[in-house]
Amino acid sequence: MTLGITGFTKRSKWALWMAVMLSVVLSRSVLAAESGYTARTKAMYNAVCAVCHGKDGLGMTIGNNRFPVIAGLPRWYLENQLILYKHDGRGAHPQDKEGLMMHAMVRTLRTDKEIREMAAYIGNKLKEKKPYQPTVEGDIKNGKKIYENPATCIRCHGNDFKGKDVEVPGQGYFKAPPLTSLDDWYMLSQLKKFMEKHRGEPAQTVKGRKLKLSQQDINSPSFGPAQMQAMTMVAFPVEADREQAMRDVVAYIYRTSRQKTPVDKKQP
Amino acid sequence: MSKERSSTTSYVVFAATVITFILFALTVFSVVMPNRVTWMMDLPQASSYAYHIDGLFGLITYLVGFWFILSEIVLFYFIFRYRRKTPDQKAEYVSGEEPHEKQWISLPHILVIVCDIVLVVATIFVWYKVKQTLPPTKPENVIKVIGQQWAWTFQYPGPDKVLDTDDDVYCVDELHLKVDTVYHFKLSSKDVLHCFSIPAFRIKQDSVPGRTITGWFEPIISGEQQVARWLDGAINVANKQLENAGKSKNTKAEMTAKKALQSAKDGKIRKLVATDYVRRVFDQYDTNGDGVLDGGELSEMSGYDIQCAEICGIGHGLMKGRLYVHSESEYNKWQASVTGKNAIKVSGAGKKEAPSVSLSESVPQ
Repeated sequence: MTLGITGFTKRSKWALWMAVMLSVVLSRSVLAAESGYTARTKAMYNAVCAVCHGKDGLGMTIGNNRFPVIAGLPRWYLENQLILYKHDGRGAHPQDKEGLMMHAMVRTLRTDKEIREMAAYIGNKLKEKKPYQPTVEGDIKNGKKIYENPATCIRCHGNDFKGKDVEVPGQGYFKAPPLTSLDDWYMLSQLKKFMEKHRGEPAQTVKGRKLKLSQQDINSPSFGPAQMQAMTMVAFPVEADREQAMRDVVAYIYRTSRQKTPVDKKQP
Repeated sequence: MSKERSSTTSYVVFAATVITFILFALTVFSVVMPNRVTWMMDLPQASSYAYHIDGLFGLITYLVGFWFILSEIVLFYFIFRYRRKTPDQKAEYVSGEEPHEKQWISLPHILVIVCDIVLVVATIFVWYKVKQTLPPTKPENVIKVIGQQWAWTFQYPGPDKVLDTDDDVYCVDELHLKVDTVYHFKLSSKDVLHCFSIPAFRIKQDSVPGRTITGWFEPIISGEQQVARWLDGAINVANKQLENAGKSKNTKAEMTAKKALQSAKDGKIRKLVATDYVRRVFDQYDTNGDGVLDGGELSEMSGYDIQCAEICGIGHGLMKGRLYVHSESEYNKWQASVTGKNAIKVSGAGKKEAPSVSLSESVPQ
């Protein structure tokens, strides 16, 4: 086993090879620790998640099913949502058709570690932005009015739609996710789900009940959705046509957030 | 070349064939059978007709196994008996028209038909019991099972004991049943073909979109009974270990065994004293990893799997639920926890009157 290396004894060659291999292994693990995911996570994303969400995480349409964009979502939000799916906090409502699909698919992530790694991969690696494709028509002025009501949307999602840390008196800060990367049809469907209580509270299962116990803690993944469900009750029941009001808000969010980003400035 | 083949060569060829066959059979047997056997031992006969289905499986296995082994013996014996003995021996043409030749076909034929009749009659009896009869039950024990990609939804009649009313209770991927009660299920599908399968009940029923299929089952072992059995087993093992430790005067082992015995009496199982099945699945259910299965973990372990058994899309393998069989008091506790205040309202939830705004205090306006 010379391999072009001369001037070494057999033992020192062996030591050299071991050192090289050890450094490769160590640097790989350091890299993995920094980025939070491993090669296995990527392979798993491509084998399972990419079937519906696409390799770039931009979602796709298969038959009657539309699958949403997940690229551009922050790591903490993805982690929370995956944990919620895993523990019957989301997608365990019998009327939530799309949620029930995801509820089953999340079972491929068997441990919390795998969930963290997957969230890290999607959150850190998939950053591509979907082209501007509005599908929801609505009255933008009315949408702006509802969005900017200080008691509702703007309070947590901010005037730049990027989400922010919201203070809960006596408890601390909880996070609200950005809306800038989402499809408009997806935001509309989720608003409806929050409104109809198909999303936002843990299911009445063994796991769901355990999760519900943690809902008072603002760091619990089940805290934010419960607040969001309550907020839809504040924002929309006063409107005459709730469905239209939701469309208005979504149209406003989608158009305004996309116009503010430099990439889509050319778009109307 | 075949002309020069000696009788030794034919012996070698014959021996090689037999050895290859035996090795192949042993490999298949040793790979498949241990898994099968443990799987069958792990799976309790948890419904009233599970025993009959297993009996039918046994009957078929033993009858077919008998004929399989017998015919293989005859085959190999004939290969050996009528081998070529001299290099110039030619094969004899057998037309199979003589009575003593024909009976090698006709006798087994009749015997196999007799066995077939036995199997068919037994099958019809079991089929009639499981699929053709519907033992009577109370209206509150009629549930709906709805399959969709990729979840099972179970709909209970709720307090008014009538299905499809506003107080129905819905459970996703989780089925709670009362022990020793006949349940009727109405199985439907929202999208594609699914198959409702509970291996511990030995039930498997396809669900077809557009159709409602009625079936029944009666759970006969409750989760509490299962847990009690495992605890009894743990106490037995702990006592044995205590005895052995006392004989060999091993004080350390005696202490451990005493500790394990005490936890088993408190309703907890330590891995050291777990019986065969419990030890095998121990780590899977020891969710907090403390080496002790406590009450919650044991009750989770006493559940059974529900699985879709008809390929229904990419998530087919993930379409599973959990079944919990309760004693009457535990079942009532569960029912009280889901009915009333938190029952999921489904019909036209969004179109109703504006719900009263009950913001939690933590988000001020």
